[in-house]
Amino acid sequence: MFETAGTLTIVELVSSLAALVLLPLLWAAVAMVSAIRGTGSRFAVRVAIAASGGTFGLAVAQAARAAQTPPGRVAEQHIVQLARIGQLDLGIDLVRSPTSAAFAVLVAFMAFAAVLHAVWTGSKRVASRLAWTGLAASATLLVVLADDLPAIAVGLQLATLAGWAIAGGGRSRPLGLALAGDTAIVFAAWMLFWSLGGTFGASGYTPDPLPRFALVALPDPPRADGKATVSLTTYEDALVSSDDGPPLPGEPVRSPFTLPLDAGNYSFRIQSGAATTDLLVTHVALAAGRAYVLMPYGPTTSLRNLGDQLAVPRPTPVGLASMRAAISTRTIAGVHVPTVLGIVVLLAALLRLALLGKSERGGLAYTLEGVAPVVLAMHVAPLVDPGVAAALAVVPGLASVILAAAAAASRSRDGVARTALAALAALAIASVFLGETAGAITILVASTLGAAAMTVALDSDADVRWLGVACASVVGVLPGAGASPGIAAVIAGAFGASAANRTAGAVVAPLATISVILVSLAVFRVYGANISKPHAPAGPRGARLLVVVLAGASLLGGAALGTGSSPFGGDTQPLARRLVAGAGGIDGVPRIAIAAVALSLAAAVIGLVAARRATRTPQAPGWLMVLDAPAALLARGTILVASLVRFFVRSVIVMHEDVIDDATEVLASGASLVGNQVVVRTGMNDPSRFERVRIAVVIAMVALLGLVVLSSVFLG
Amino acid sequence: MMKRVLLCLVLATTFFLVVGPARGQDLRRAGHVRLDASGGRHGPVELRASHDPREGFTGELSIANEGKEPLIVSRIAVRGDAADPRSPPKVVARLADGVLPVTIAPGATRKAVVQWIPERGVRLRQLFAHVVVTSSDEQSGEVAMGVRAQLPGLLGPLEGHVLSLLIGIPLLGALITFLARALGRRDDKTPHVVTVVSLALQSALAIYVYRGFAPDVSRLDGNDGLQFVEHGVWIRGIAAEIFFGVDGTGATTLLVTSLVGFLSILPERTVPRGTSGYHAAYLTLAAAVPGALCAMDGLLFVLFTAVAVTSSVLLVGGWGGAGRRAAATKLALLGAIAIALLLVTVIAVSREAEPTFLVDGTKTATTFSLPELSRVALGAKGAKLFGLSFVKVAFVLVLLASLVLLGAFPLNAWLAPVFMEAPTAVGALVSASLPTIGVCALLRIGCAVLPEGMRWASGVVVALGAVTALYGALGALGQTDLRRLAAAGTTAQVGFVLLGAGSLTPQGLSGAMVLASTRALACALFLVLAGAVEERAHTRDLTRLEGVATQMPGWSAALAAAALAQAGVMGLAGAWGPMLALLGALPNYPPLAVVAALALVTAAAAHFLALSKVVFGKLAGDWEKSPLLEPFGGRFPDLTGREWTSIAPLVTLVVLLGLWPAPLFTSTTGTVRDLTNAVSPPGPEQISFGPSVAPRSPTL
Repeated sequence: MFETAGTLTIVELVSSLAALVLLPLLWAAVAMVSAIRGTGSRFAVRVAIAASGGTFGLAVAQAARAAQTPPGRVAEQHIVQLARIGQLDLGIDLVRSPTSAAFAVLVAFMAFAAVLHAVWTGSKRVASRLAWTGLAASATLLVVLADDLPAIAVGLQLATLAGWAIAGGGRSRPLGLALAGDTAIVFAAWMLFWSLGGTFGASGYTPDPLPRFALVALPDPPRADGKATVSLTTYEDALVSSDDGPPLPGEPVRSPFTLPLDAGNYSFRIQSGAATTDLLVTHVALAAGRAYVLMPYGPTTSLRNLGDQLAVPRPTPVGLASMRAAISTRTIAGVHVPTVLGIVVLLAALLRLALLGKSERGGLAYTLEGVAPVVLAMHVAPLVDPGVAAALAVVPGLASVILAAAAAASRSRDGVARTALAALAALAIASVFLGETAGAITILVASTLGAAAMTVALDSDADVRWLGVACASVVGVLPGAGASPGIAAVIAGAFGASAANRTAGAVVAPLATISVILVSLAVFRVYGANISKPHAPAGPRGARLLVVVLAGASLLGGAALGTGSSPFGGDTQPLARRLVAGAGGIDGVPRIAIAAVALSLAAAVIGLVAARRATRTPQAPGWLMVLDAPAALLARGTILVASLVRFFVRSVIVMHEDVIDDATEVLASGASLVGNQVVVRTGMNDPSRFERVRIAVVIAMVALLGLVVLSSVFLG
Repeated sequence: MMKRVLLCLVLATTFFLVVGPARGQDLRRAGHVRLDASGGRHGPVELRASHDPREGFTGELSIANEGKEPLIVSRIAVRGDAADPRSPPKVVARLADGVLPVTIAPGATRKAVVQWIPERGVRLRQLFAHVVVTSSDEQSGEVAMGVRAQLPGLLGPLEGHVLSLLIGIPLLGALITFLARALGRRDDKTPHVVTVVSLALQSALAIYVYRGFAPDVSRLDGNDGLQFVEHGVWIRGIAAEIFFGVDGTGATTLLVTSLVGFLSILPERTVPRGTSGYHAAYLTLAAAVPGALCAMDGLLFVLFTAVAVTSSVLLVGGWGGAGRRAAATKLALLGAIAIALLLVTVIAVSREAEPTFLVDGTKTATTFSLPELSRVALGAKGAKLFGLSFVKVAFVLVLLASLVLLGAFPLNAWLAPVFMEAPTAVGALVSASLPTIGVCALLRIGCAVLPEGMRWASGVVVALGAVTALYGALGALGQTDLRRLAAAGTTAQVGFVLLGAGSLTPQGLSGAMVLASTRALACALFLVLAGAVEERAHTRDLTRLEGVATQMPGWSAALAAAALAQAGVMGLAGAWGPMLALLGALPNYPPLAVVAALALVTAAAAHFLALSKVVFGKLAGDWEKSPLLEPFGGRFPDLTGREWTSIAPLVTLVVLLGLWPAPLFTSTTGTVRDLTNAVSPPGPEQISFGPSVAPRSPTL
């Protein structure tokens, strides 16, 4: 009953990941102190440049280490144990997997660029901007590297805080949406937590009686010395000892550990920590030379443990049972839990994108905000049934179209890059739900770098040709470079889903195409507006250099991540596909791949042509302005919600003043009548007498408590 | 007439003098058992450390036969069993010589030895136990003698009276302020210095208690899961005891309320009129709060709560702002109702108690000891109160009292006026203390003593929690006054206390307990900061304070930490309690958990928007010419060094506990386990199947 077998994620413990999160905090703290004290910002600038450069270097080093790690293994750093109550094991752990390392490189690079941009463009409040950029970078890195819920939740809220501050506070609706998104993530995590064990019934939640730990046999090759090994890498600081069998060397052994043991029968007692009773794994047989892991089952907040539970079936009295099957049978309000989870997380991710698309931003820090929603989608999508996930992909597809249309109809050039990035991030989320995670990574990397290049180019009056390169990279006009392979992968994924009889795929493909057309229209409108008024580059040299680096990185990054021969029937896998270690929906189907590439290019070109037509006249054509209608409709929806909230606020205030306060005052006036009589009769209406009485009461209380204390000392 | 009365009195006296002893002699014809501590003293027996450390602590008690026939003693044992050990492990009681059963001749005495050998790395540093003796004296039945021992500690002989010191030092300070005034020192500085020194000492002791508090100690470890226990008989006639102890709720709340009391008064520059009375009343409040947080006797708890409420009323009514009378009246009225409800409940519950022993071994039919009352299965007794189910009525009374003290909907009318009118330090201490006492009332009496009531009303408690949280959050969204915002934020946070407590899950209960401390910290910090800006600008209106961050960046940064912690933003101390309360409530009350989640979003938005005004708003031009700022060159002065000494520790705690809440959680776990066992005892389906699998955490 306590034995099972499967392929677990093997963990190598490291201690260098925390630096990635702490270094940005360091410059944030220094810059914040500088901003608060109002002293010169030179020191803060130096620290920020050095720390952000160091963060980028560290991220690259971690990525290099991740590239050398064999498949199925990750590096993890346990930062801190927060709480262990019942089966809730809250901790903060960071993980270095190929995907998280790649995202860390992107975030660190963008943070470095944001710092340089802030310094080069100059500002009275450079220290304050550096501080918030540091916080945003640290928060995003925390989300990217997080291996458990608390880290994600803390990271998201710190990112919201930083985003709110960078945007200059103010606008309540985007802020409210982002906060709602953060809370929805926590809520979804708790739903998942309870869904992993026990049942929801008419009488509420009933915990299940299944074992919490099982011994998992790994398919590793046997050890040469013939010793079996037993590991525990979760439940940090838990104590393990032998319950009934040969004693363990040095027991109780503290987690994490790997123990070489002689073959034989063992029983393990696990003292997992406070507010829990001991857990047992009894009468398990260790074979010579084999590797085993003590693995917790049931409710968890650890992403790694969740992945393991999905990969390795759980032992039950009637045989092995898949955790995926278990959660698929659970429902909330008649809807399967994985579907509810998918919907909630999807909405949360889109709400965060709304913040990115709508709020007023300064500098490049906004580019960090596209990362977290995609990472969240990547965490939750594997839990959702592929058919349902494909259907859910329609939602971000539609959101992408709406955001792209808003970008196309934008009257201000400054907001275009932000909104275009939001649209493409939504497309990346759709890609994740279609099972094309590699495509999502490519889109996100290329569009983030491209949008940043656009922003810097516009801010610094850089050479307009590099603005064009950035625009081309963002929408994937150049085949095989920039976002092009990613966009092609999304469309191909949608075709693939459609071919697998998932009708939602047939909806997502046109949505993705329309979205690309509109994004292309939006960015090339900005480009067109700039080439129509030629002038010599005037911005700071550093900023102009940054444009070149960012635009080049966008093109090359997209090419490196997304280009390979496998979609066309060849053997070379794109780097992004190797990062996520999973086959895409179009591998080995060249016709679909070619059609998708052609459609993605056609969409980008159509958008470019439309942009050229739209910029022929100084005034934007009327048909363009209509594109804003869906976003305006949604905005009206949020206005409606805001007015509803205002109504409730007024109601609460009125209720408090007219009911709760008044009722108490009526009672109080009755008491006052009696009190006044007492006051008059005892002569306490004389202030000095009243004060004497008050002091007498204090003395009486002191005497009473003093009596208690003395009694305690002499009697207790 | 008088003659008849006198005659009756004479007859009655004669009856008692003649017949009474005769009845006594009849009773003493059989063997009659009496227990004494060594030397013929009353109990409890003090165990002394032996010279040989392997022998631990030993003590003796004598078993005397006061009857006229032989007495057979059949059993001498330490009270308790495996399910409810009552005392720490390794305590044994035996006859000093001979074996049981033993016959004691009339008038003779036999010695019994009690030994406690604390294990290495022992978590409980005290022993409180009863040695019970069963004999042939059927009239007396089982008799007991209290036993106690104390491991040596840093404070030497005072180690066993840390909590008395914690309560007593501020009282001593209050006495000194009066004495100083009586001796002619009528300056403002003396009482302030005395107060600061007293509260600094109190905080140091609270830190000592927190540092010495062993986490994860529950009732299964003995001493009712309490530490730093002081237990003595106070008023034997009514079975009232002096019973102080620290549990998981008390360990952190003691520290937080002591620190808030000390740090809030520290920067106070303008002293309200009637100085000595003010400081004495403040010190009385500072003494009453730890008393209530540590009181394990129902009467004592009510007494300390009453003093805390009364001193709060005096402070607000005597030294508050323009609307102080109304604020004090509301607090007095609602506070009196809460105290009356608590008193009625405690007395009613004590009347239903099972016969037990006081700490010295005296047999009693009634008790006010909360751990003892929590052993009584009130629901199974089928008792009635006011003609209705006893447990349900008693729980409703406790719930109402808790709602008042917590400042929860709909009994929160006192909260905003008190926050608005109280002097800054008083507001901070009251905000930290009364709701915390409310948490104790709900958990110690509502959950531990009346678990059947809590189970019966859990849905209502969770619903009240969700509504309170949303009510507070929506109220916060409409506020422009900093102190009103603090009151609304407090209401929102106490909503999560109710949500967590009503969930009956260990996670929810833990959330409620953690919130008691984090809410107090955040709210007190917020009020201190509101007071600081009010001192400078004579306003707390956010619309007038727009953009003040440009001139007061330090104050604004601290306000951001306080506001966001109060709003429950992750990464700051106020977040973990609501998170766990939500987690606890979700499985059994999903719709109400959704409402609470909405409240969390709304509260966060309200505080963010308030901060937006302060940090990103545009400072009104007329401030430059304001006479208030003239002494400072037309600019708002930022926090002074003295203010930072008070604010910086609070900010540090708020941030640190947000990133690393383990110190809060670890101290609560033992109590969480006890409470969960009480309100949600394990059912058959919750025990793992298989013969060798240990039962897991009760509700999980």
